Amino acid sequence: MSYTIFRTFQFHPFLLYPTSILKPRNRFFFSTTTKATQTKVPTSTQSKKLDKIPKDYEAVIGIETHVQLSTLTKAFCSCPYSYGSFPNSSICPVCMGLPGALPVLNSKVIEFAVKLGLALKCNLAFNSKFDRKQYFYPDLPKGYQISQFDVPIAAAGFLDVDIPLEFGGGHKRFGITRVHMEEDAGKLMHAENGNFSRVDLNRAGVPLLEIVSEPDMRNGIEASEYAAELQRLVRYLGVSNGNMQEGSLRCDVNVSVRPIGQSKFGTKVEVKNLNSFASMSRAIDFEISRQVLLHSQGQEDQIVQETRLWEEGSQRTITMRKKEGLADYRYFPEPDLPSVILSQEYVDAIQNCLPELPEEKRRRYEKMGLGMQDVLFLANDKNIAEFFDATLAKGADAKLVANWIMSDIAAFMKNEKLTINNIKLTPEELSELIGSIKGGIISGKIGKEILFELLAKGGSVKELIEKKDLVQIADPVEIEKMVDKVIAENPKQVEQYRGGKTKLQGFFAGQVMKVSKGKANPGLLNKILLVKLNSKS
Amino acid sequence: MAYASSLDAIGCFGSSVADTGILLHAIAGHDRFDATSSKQEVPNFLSHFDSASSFESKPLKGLRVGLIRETIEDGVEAGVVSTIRAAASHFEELGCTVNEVSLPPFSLGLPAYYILALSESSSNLSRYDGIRSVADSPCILLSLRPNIHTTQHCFILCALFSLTNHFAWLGSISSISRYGNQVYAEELGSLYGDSRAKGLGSEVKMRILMGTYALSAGYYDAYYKRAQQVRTIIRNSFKEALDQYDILISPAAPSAAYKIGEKKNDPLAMYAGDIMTVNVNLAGLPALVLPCGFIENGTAGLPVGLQMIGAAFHEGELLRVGHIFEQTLENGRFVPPIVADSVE
Ligand SMILES: [Zn+2]
Repeated sequence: MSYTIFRTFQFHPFLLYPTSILKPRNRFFFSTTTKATQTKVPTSTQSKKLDKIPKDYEAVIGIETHVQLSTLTKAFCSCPYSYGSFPNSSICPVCMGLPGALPVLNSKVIEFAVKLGLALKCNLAFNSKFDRKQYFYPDLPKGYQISQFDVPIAAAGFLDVDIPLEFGGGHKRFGITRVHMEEDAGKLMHAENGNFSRVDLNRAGVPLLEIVSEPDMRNGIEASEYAAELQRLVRYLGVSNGNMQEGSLRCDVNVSVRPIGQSKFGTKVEVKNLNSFASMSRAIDFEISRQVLLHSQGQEDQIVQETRLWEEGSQRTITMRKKEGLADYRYFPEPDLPSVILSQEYVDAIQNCLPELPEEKRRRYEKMGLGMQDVLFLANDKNIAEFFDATLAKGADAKLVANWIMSDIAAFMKNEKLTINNIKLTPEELSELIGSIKGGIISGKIGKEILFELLAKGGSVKELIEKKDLVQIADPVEIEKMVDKVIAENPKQVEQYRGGKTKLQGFFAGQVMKVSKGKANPGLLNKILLVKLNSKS
Repeated sequence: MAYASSLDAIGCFGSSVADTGILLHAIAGHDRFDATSSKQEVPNFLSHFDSASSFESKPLKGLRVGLIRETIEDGVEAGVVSTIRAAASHFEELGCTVNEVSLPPFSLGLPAYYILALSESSSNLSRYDGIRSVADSPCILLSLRPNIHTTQHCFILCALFSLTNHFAWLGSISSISRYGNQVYAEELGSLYGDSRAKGLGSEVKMRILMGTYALSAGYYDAYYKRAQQVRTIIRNSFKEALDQYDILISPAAPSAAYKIGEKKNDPLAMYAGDIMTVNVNLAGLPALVLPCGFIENGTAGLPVGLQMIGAAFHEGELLRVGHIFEQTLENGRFVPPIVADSVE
């Protein structure tokens, strides 16, 4: 824990030096500049804060998300970007803001924005433009950020979310106010002794999409599920890796509280430094209870427009900066770039190439008769969903495949710390395995053995069955012989059985199975066994 | 270096129309590092420069020339007006029809131009912020005034580490990434403010302040937005006029050149000197300016420039007309008397 605090302080010199020069009026660090280490928090801490929200208040939460696009090059120059590369190793006159250099738009940025806009069911602006958002800060080399102001490329959409059962379940639709394109700023690295700061412009000019939600969320879980769904969406679309730790997905949250029935919003507080969905949910719930407490004590005037910082270490939000009136960014249309014109054909082509989206996938799985828990498990991870679908495509039964993936395969991945992409089992073989069991070629028990072999070493089901002579014994004559053998070897138990202790049937079945080395068809075995046991009574 | 991006264009200068055409031909065309440059194919401008001896008697027969009425009215020096009228007569001798044409919004161009230009330049000049400019140490930045205060910050680019980079220009980044002065300050706002106060000249600072004001919340609609609307009106009025005329003509300036420093303390009078040319810039049209005579009784015979304005992408036509006009003008290849005097 102390390590966390240390790290937080190190990256936030404001806290160390309240009179520091780093008190920008117009903006602040991106939350990701703090690489606060993940802290496991006992759930007791969490619930302690959660249960104190009285019923007569309601929270209103809106989220601004910045998604870093995984284009090969930056938004307005041909520099590549890769997270963690050496400072200023990927910069050029354009992204350094040197005199005379002009921006030229990377067309992939438009494509990705349109993709996300369509996936969020937004209205697209067929004629939008870029604007300059102006402020001075050392990580902003041009003195302005190229962004979109009054005409965002996409607006008025929504995002559908299935809340997990453990948080109450239910289907929610959250409104999307707008999606716009902009460029990222660089990064400041503050010296430990506070004497100087260095500027790393690798990230400057990297394309972002800013997604602004409607204030539709009411608690931490809804907010973090919204953000998680957004992450899934950008991953499904392939527009971003959505990685929160690397800052590819950054959420700033606005929280306000009002008495139930009041239509006017309460004073909103911005919460930053949310590095995971879990911390997002906790931070919001903390902030809600803090505001509710002030409300219930008649001190709502203590809730002021400010930016608060989530402290992972102490699990609370603290004041980072009070708002000094509205910042004036002096927006005006970016004269260095032509307007962004979309044609219907272009949009249609992108629409037609959209992959199946998480929501569509969940509804499809639901229609197959899978329970919501299965649906979420399978659809939440794009790779698992692909594996599942590929297995189905080979003809396997959906419920059976879901069971195998969610039980043994999931357990194996968890134990071995593997993802579905690096297990040796292929969808083809899983389908073959399920088919072999269903078709009676092997027993379920043998099936499991084969599964673990396939997971760890790979290979084909057919080969393994042949090599290990695992084909199920489904010949009644052969099974009858084994049953006879077991009955003959256990006269005492037979007597007991016939004396009324019919529970012993299980014992006999086990013995026969053992004789068959697990290969006997269980249905046939039981049928024959019953006939034999009962016939001589 | 950008001044007013939506207005900036390269001006070609030459000792003759043909020279200017050669230069323009060399630089014209799409520049893939400038998203605002046109992708339209460039015609051969050089085919228009026939020698004067091959001209017919009326080489510009049928060319419709419009003399912009608003540019020869009150406020324009009489000597300038008479020289331009003489140029118009010369066009008639070459076979053109010359008529006066009115562009009512012409006078709105100057304020609109200055609002847009200053707004954009206030933004373009933001990058001269003192951040990319620091003392001697390549990567470690010293506390600027050692031993005084622990909260002093300064900012540098660690560009110097990028030696492994293989782009040709990167070799020189360490020098180009640092420009201007950084004033030592104890507080970020002062670092910016003092660096810019010290590093920028007074005319530049005045323009930045005016542009910043015009873009400020609450003033944007009244200034910047209206100026953009005026720009559209001007563009449309030029388009209308150029539907009726092949070229439009006007003086290049309302007066002959003023003396160096003469209007230093009267910036508005100085800016007013741009009234003839800014409209063309706002409308996004090509124009050619060439000397067409001298102010007779004026200050030692200063030259008067004639501005010829063509429709968008009609540079070739302008060069052809300009070349014929120049080659057929009496004393076509002239030396201004003021220069001639000093040469003697
Ligand atoms: Zn670059």
